[in-house]
Order: sequence, then structure tokens, then C-alpha cells
Amino acid sequence: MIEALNLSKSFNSGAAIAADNISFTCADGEIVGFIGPNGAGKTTTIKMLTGIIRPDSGKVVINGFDMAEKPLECKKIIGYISDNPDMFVKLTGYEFINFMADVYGVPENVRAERIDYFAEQFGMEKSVFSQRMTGYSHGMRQKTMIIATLVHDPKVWILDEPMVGLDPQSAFNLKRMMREHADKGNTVLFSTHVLEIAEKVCDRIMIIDTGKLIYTGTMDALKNGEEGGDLEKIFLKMTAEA
Amino acid sequence: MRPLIIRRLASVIMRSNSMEEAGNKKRKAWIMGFTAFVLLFVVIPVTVMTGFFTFILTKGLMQTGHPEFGIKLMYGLISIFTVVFGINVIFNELYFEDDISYLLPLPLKPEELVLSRFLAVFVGENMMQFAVVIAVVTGFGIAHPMNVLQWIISLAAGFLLPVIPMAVIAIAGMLLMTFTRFIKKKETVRRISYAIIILILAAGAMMLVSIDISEIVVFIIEGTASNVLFVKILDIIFPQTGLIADFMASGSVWPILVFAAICLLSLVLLSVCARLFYMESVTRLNETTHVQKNAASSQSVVFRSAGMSLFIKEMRILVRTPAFMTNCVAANFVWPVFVLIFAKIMRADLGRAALSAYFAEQSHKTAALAVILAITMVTAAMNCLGSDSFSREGKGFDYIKFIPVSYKLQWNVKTAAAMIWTLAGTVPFFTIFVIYAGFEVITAVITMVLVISSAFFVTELGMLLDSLNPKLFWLDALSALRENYNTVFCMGITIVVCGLLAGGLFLPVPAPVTAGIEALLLCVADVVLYLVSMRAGVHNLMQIGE
Repeated sequence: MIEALNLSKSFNSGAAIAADNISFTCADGEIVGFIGPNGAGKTTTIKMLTGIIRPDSGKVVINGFDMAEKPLECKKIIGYISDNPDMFVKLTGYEFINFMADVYGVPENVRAERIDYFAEQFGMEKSVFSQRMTGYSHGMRQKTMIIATLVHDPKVWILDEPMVGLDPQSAFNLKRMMREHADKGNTVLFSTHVLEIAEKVCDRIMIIDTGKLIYTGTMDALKNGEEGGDLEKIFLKMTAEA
Repeated sequence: MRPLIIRRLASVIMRSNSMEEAGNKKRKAWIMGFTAFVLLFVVIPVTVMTGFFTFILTKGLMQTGHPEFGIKLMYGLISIFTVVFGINVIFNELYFEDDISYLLPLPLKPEELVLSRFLAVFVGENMMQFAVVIAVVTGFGIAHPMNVLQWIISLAAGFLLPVIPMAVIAIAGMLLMTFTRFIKKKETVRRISYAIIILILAAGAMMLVSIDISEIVVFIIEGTASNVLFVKILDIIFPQTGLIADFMASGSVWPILVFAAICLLSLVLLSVCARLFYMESVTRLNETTHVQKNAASSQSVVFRSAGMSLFIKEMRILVRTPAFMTNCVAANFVWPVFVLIFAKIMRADLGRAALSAYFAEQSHKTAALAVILAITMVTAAMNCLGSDSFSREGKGFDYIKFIPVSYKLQWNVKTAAAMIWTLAGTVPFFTIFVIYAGFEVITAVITMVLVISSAFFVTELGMLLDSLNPKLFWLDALSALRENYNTVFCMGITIVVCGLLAGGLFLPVPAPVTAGIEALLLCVADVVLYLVSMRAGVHNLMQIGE
């Protein structure tokens, strides 16, 4: 479970407010979509949830652990995919995955099984992992990043734009894996710009604009009462009003 | 060709390579303090000393009737350094920077692309050199009076000194990239450029070794210094040095007009070569490399502790990234070559008996300890392993924060990786030296403690500086090292501390005593610095990006 309590964050000595008193809960068994225009504060909020930046005020609680007080316990529970897959590209795929698995203390046999599973899901031949990631395409780096992030089977998935660069089959499989993971009683929070993905996958969505959370609820509740129930129109209207 | 576009593009490239400003006021104040320290205690003293040296040299040479010889030699050496370090930088700027793939689709002419990148390198790489040139011109001008116009033109010519060697490298690079079609990978070209650097260094070393200092003095007195092989080669490779020196000494406009014409010609040639060759070579290099899907799987899963895995990752990144491999790793092993060359030039007897006899004398032993200390500290600062430790993570820095490994462990892993390479380049050589030179056991032990403690001091200092404001936005790994103020600050502070410690060795007390006291002081300083790192350094890491 992810609990964000009154999170605020500003930059440039308070001149730019990236998150303004944001509170929400992502319950166990839930997939929550985090949507908003560019610069709305999605990545800043996600970075606060994952311990990359500290909030000016408020707190983050992951499965009962306070990020400020027990950061390592929180981080062990989280699997975080950043919006930049170009990390450690001088390593081979195996070296990178092994590195992440070592960091999370995943036993050899478990990681081998999980690499097999994910490689199959993403249609990757394992021989590719023996080569350096400098030669990978953006999509292959993204897939390798996802495998490395999920190799320790984290209970809480926090994914920043995870579908970018994935081919349709891999994107479909990732969405299915997200559903299966949530159905096992775990938590998935992901940000996206693609409203259709949020509409199809999420149990709940959160809309953020100019650092403020302007909507939290189910997709049905959001559409309820709106003419035609077109999510795109609703989103544009809400962010324009905010 | 549009000069405005070239200027704007060069400005964009320079800005994208420069460091971000520190985020908060406290960090800004620290950085301002370090800048002032380096300026006051390093840049200004070095500049003044260079000017003074030029003044003395010129005064002496004026008696032989050849005041221009000293400045010609100094400009020649500056040009050699421009070539040696320029090869890597220019190749990188023209062919390997990541932003090239974004610029290629733009409606820019090849000569505009090349000249703008050339301009960016010229300004970015030569800022420190300009300070030296000003000092050289000032020293010469005071010793050998010049009129106002001579002063202005001499400074301008000194400013333009690197144009010709840099243009020659860029042209040669384009020809190499165009006509060597067997090169398909960037790494191959990098290796070739490093081989060229080694060749130039080797040739320079051989020439220097062949010099007999007494022979040069005789030649200068006889007014025939140009007959010396080293000077002859300098005249051929870098004719501009002689032209500028002639102008400064004689005031005749012809040499400077010829110099200006050669500068202009080199830029025109660069433009022509760019138009003819650049696009073809750069587009071929930027073709995507495809992954071989049927390659044999040579590796799968291996279990290690988090700390060991972090350490191995650190070592792999250092060794596999060419810019880090050459500047951070290989750089540790270069200094013995220079020491050997120096010994050869001085015609020193390197036999064991001769060395033992030489270092039996106390003053020689003190000098050796001072040199060992200086080499260790300067190498540790120059390799940037500490002062670049966080900057080299670049855009991937966030992983330090989201992985469930304590900041302290991550810090210690980086310290260990840095220390291993620094000590690998010093400890084996100095161990052999102290045995070979017949140092007493106690002096030998103190020497090794000095080496290890001083290397740790510089490494930890560099890491602490880099944690304040790391340069995380860079397009190419070399840019993580270039124009990174933390490496400059670290070098500046190191030079001052090293000067104090090396100077302290010459106090009128037996060398082993002062060295022992200094080793003890360094160990205490190491402990203090480490404790500061574990608190303030870790705190700095947590604040990065906030």
C-alpha cells in the first residue's frame, strides 16, 4: 500500500511549486493511474514516493514503513521504473539485471526463473542479455530495465511511463502482468500520458495539474454525468479549469 | 555559410557542456569559496610564476641576441599539449557527442556544424591556456619592451595560437574518418586516436631524451639554436610559434601577417574538408549498431552481495567507458614514463648501486619523499576518480537514491574503487623504488603510509566536493570530466596542500621525522575527512536534485 500524506515540494526557493499538499492512498490489490499534462508534477511526486527526493513537508508510507524513517525497508518493497532507460548502458543485460538482483538480494535460482519468465513475456532472446546495452534499441533497454526492476518481485510497483518504447505485444503483456500483480493483493501505481491505457488498465485514476491533485476516483465516477463519457474531453476540461 | 548560426550553435553547445548552477544558497556559497581559493592560491600564483619565468628567460636570452627563442620554445610546448589533448577532444566533439544525432536532421551546412563545434572546443578547452599566454606575453613584454600595438597583437596572436594545431587535427580526423572504411565502431576510432596520442608522446619523449642541454646552450650562444633537432621539428610542425616570436621580438609586421594568413587558410581548409567529407563520415558513424540475436549466451546469473555487486559495477563502468578508462584509470600509469624521460634527459645513472649511493644523502632522500608525495597527490587529483565519482553517474544518478543500499555503503564502494586504481598506479612503483634506492625500513614504511594516506585524502576530498554539486547533465562521458569545476577545485586544493606538505619536509629536521609527523597528520586528516563525508557528504547526496 502506498500512502502519500500532504506531500509538498517546491524548487528554486519556493518559486516553482511542483507538488502542493498532495494526499492519496493506493490500496493493496489496486492499479492506480497517475495522469496529468507535462510539468504537472507527476515525476516529482513519483520521485518523492520512491525516496529520490524528499518532500518539503508531508510523508510517504509504503506498506506501513515511513520513507523518512525507514528508507531502506521502503525501498526493498518498491520496484521503480524511471522514465529514463539509458542507465549503465556499458553493462551487458545480464550484468545489469544481476547487479539489480544483488542489490535486492535475490537468490540465483529465483532470479534465473524470473529472467526466463520476463524474457518470454517480452519476446526477448536471452542471448541478447550477453551483449552490452549500448547496442540495444530504446525498447530493448526499456524491457531490460523492467526485468531488472521486477526481478526481486516487489510488492509495490511504481512505474514512470512504463509503456514508452514497448511494442504492442510487450505493452499488452506488461498490462496483463500489472493486473495479475494487483490481483495477488499487491499495489501498482503508474504514470502515463496515454488516456486509453489508463482507461483500460486502472481501477482508479489520479489527475494532477500544476502540482495539485484535481481528481481521485474511479473511471466510471469520472465519466458519470459527462456527455458521451469521453475521457479525453473530460481530462482537457478538468486541466483547463485547474 | 552563416556566421550568426555558427556563433549561436557554438554557444548552445558550450552551454550544454557547462555545469548546472548549484541549487541552494549554501552550496553556491561553498562553490564561490572554492573558486576564490583556486584563483587566489593556484591560478594567480601559477600565472605570476610563468610570467616571471618568461621574464628571466627572455632577459637571459637577450644577451645572446635571441630574445625570441624562449617564447618560441614555450609556445611550441603549449602547441604540443594542444595536439596531445586536442585529438581526443576534437574527435569526440566532431563524431561522438550524443547531440550530433539531433543536429544532423537540421538544415545546417556541414561547414556550419563543424565550425560551430570547433569554436565551442576552442573556447571551452583553451580558457586556462589563455591565462598562461597572457602571463607569457606580459613576462616577455616587460623584459623586452614592446609598443602598444605590439602588446595588443601579441595577446591576440597568443589567443589564436591553438587555431592551427586544432584545425590540423580536425582536418586529419575528417580524412581518417572518411577514408578508413574498415572502421565501423566508435570504439575502434577511439583506440586509433589514443594510439596517435601515444605515438606523439613517444616521439616527443624520444626527442626530449635526445636533447643535450649543454648542446642547446652552445647553440643558443652561437645563435644557431634552430639546428637542434627538437627545435627543427617544432619549426616544421608549428611554424606559427616562430612567426609570433619573431613579431614580438622584432616588431616587424610580416611574420604576424603570415601567421594571420595561415590561421585563415587553416579555417578555410577546415570548411572545405567539412563540406567534402564531414557528412559522409559522421552519418556512417551514427548508423545504428544492431544486436546479434543469435549470439552465444556466455553469461547468466551470478549471486554476489550488494556491496560487491556495486563495486564490480563501478569497476566495469570505469574500464568500459573509454573516457573514464583513459582519464581515470590509464592516467594513473603514465607518470613513470615522464620520470624515466626526465632521468634520461638529466643523464642520471639508474643502476642500483648509484641510486643507493645518491639517496644515502639526507637532502636527496628528502627531495625523493617530496616528489613521491607530489606524484601521489597530483595523480589522485588528476585521475578525477574522487572528484568525478558522482558526476559520472550522469542521468542515471537517481539509482543511488532508490536502491535499498545505504548511502554510506555506496560512498565506501566508490572510495574503494577510486583508491584501488590510484594505488595501483603508485604503490608498486614506489615499493620498487624504496627497495632499489636502499631506504631504511622505517623510512620505507613511512613513505608507503604517506602515499596511501595522501591518496585517500585527495580521493575523499574530491568525493566530498563532487557531492556538493555534481555535473549530472552531460551528453558524452568525456563531458562529465571536462568543465567539471569539482575536478578543478580538487586539483587546486591538492596543489596547495601538497605544496605545504612537500615544503614541510625540507624543515631543518631529519626527513624521516618530518615525514613521520606528516604521515601522522595526514592519517588524522583522513579520519576527520572520512567522518565529515559520512555526515555532510551523505547529507549532500540526499539533497541532490531537490
